Amino acid sequence: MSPRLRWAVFGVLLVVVAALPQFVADTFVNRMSEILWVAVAALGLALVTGYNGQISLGHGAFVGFGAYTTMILTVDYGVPFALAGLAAVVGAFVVGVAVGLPALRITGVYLALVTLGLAVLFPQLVVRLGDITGGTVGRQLLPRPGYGDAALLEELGQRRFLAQAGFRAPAWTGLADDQWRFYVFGVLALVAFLLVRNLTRSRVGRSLVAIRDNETAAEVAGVRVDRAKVITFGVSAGIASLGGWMFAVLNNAVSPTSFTITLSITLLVAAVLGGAASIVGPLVGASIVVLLREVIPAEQQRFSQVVFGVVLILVMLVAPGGIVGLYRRGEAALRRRWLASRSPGTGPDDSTLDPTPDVPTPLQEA
Amino acid sequence: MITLEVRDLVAGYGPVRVLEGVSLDLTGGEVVVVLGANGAGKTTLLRAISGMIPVQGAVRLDGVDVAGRRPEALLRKGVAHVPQGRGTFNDLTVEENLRVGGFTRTSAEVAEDTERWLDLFPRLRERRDQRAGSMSGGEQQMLAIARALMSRPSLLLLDEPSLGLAPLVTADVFSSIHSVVGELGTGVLVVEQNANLALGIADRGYVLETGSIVSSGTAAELSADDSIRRAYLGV
Amino acid sequence: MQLFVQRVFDGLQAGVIYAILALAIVVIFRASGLLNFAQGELAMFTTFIAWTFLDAGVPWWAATILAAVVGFGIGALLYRLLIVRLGGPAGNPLAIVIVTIGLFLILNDGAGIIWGANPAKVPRVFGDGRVEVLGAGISVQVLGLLGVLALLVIGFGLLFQRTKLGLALRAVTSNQESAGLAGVKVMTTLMIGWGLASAIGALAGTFTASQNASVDTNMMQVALIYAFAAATLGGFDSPLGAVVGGLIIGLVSELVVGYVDVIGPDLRLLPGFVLVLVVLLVRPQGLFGSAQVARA
Ligand SMILES: Nc1ncnc2c1ncn2[C@@H]1O[C@H](COP(=O)(O)OP(=O)(O)O)[C@@H](O)[C@H]1O
Ligand SMILES: [Mg+2]
Repeated sequence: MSPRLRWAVFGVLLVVVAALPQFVADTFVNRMSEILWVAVAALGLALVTGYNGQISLGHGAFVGFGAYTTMILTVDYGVPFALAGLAAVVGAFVVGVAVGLPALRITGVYLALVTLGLAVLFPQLVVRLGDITGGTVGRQLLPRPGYGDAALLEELGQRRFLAQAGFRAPAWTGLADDQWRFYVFGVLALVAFLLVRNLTRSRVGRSLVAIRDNETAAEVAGVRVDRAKVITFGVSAGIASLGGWMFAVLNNAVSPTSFTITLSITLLVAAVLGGAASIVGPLVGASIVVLLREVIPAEQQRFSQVVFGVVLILVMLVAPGGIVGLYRRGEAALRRRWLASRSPGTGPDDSTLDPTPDVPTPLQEA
Repeated sequence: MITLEVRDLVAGYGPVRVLEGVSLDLTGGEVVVVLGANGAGKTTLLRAISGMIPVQGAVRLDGVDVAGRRPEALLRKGVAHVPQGRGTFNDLTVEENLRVGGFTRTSAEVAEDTERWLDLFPRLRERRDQRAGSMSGGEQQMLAIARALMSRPSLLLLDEPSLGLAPLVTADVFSSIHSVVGELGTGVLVVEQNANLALGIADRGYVLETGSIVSSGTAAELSADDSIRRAYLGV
Repeated sequence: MQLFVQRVFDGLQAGVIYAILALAIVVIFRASGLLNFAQGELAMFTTFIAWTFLDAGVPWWAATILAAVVGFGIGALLYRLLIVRLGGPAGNPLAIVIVTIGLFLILNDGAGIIWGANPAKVPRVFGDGRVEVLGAGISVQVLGLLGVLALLVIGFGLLFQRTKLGLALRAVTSNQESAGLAGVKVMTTLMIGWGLASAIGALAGTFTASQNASVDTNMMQVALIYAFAAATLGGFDSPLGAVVGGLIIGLVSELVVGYVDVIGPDLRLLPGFVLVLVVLLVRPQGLFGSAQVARA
């Protein structure tokens, strides 16, 4: 697709998606909101995997960090949702840098090891800090006194209680809460995606790709490999944490079971399936992952992990660039054929017109 | 005694053709050198002969075409290959390196030959239990050659033994090669940029330029050739 | 004192399992320079297989051996059918990690589907007996496991240092191209390496089951993390390091959890996690590893 056509398609899609909440049921709107938070979290992971060339098995923990920060700040301290979100993102950035420092100094798969530990540690930490997190049962983002469940409020009465009425649509919008939430998520997701897009096309981003492809070469070219990697990891943790803010706002409740290693792996599936080295990839992957869970009947749910596992392996074997990578390959092949048919005999052959994707796909490089 | 005939050998990497139809011969205990600049295709030539990359054309050992056979098969037919950059097992000791070299042979033969090569390369005997990675480049090159000899080859393929070595060390390595093959009667096909030393131990030579043989002759003829002197002898 | 001795032995008991699983990780790393994130789930899966044999009336030691044999087969096939297609040791480590995570999901869920998610009961291999050590009652189980671990370490030490197979494994790790040129069958050797690792994993699994007196699908997940921590601490290319690392991690976790109230049993994983971060910062190659690994 030419850039102009691409923007046109993008614009039409945007309008369609923006209009959808007016026509479909609330549950469907919420499902789309779910896709958006999974996509944002997977985008954070894709930044590490696709551009740093590393794997994090702990991004579920950063999502959890964002969700819990949001819950605690809004419920216990009466902080507005927007500010809580900012705090969640900045806080996760700091944690990400702290965790990334030791693990990223060394190349190889050490980051996967450390983040795996993080993923398993996080729920334990939540349980240990039960006084503020609500322990194993978790807590709700309770509405203002008089609005919600009075008995539950009573029970939690010793807490400094300033809770707001959940995340509600302002009156001037005339929107239902679910619709308002979806639009806010949409804007946030758009911001996150544009941020990553600009980041990866900036000097820093290109130096990251240089690192991924050839660490020594990048070093020679004067790229501060360590620092670029650690900062990317921090940003990626911040984005995942934004996904956590969205989770808390959407579900109005947080509990440790939502943020186990399973979430981290689900995010990995979304990023890899969609195409970790692209920006749309995580959105595509998140849509499939969320909808897949939706279409698998409840009694078959236990197969979903097997399905995810098979998907991961198949993608790596058949289409390491994920769905977006496949699309790009197909598009390049079509264009080649089209060019060849236009000027028979003089058409460029495979070696001169390489289907070089505009964003690199590291997983294709053996 | 072994004869090697290479005929119209074409090889490369994927769509990239590196060798454009190379032919050369080696008979018995001859030392044959292939001279070529960086990127001429010397390494590719040896990899093609020993079956590490797909080829077109013929590679005949004692008249039998072995083109396309895997390195293991070549090894059993008496061809040992010392790759560029020496290819020692850096985490293994000197003695273990030799044992891997004799992997296809019985332990009695391995024990016997180990002593033999340690006698021939006294520097290796001193470092018998030392990790190969901790040795100097010259010592590693000697070890790589000794390791290749462990399979009792009748033809030794040597890829730039002088690479990365100081001139004095290189001279040392070449004189070792000379004395060893002289004693064993092993044929040697050595590819080099360093024409000076290589021609010093070689019987005959070829000049490889961008994948094609451009001239050949006895070592003396090549040493006397003005264009070769200018290109490879730095005169 | 009595409590201290008790805790030391509890720590060792846990540490033995981490050590055995870490040994499996190290064997694969030494043979192929790769990490298998499905190692723990493979161990769990083969433990269910052992349990199936046990259930059919096979004595526990025979069931364990059978499980190890099946584990060997699965590991070797896994290498041949999947890892090779991704380029083996020369492949993209990222892709291989992702594939082993895929396997993790399949094995974990698959075991639940085949055998049911509910824990199955398993007898204690070394019985329920106790012996008195410095006033503390130490279960025979711990002593038996320490014995098994010692045998494994000696066995693998001999295998790597004294046998032709061990030499081939080390040669392939060190320089695959040269190993091939010397006539080592690289593919077969790597298959054996992966097979061996999975067989060791099967032992770790059956011993865990015997310690918990039950087998369930999630039993090896925490153990895997400890095992990775143990290998990081000891050095990824050192079998001795794996064992020492496993025992240290087991001891430290038990003692910290026992004596530091702030951490307590809820945060059992924290001491090991912090230890790994410190090791990565201070001595990335681990206690017994060679420096190369850190740069790998
Ligand atoms: N693995 C490879 N893939 C693609 N091209 C290669 C590869 N190895 C070498 N080449 C190319 O083949 C040509 C000859 O290389 P080589 O045989 O290594 O030359 P020499 O050993 O004479 O320096 C060079 O242009 C080099 O870039
Ligand atoms: Mg070369």
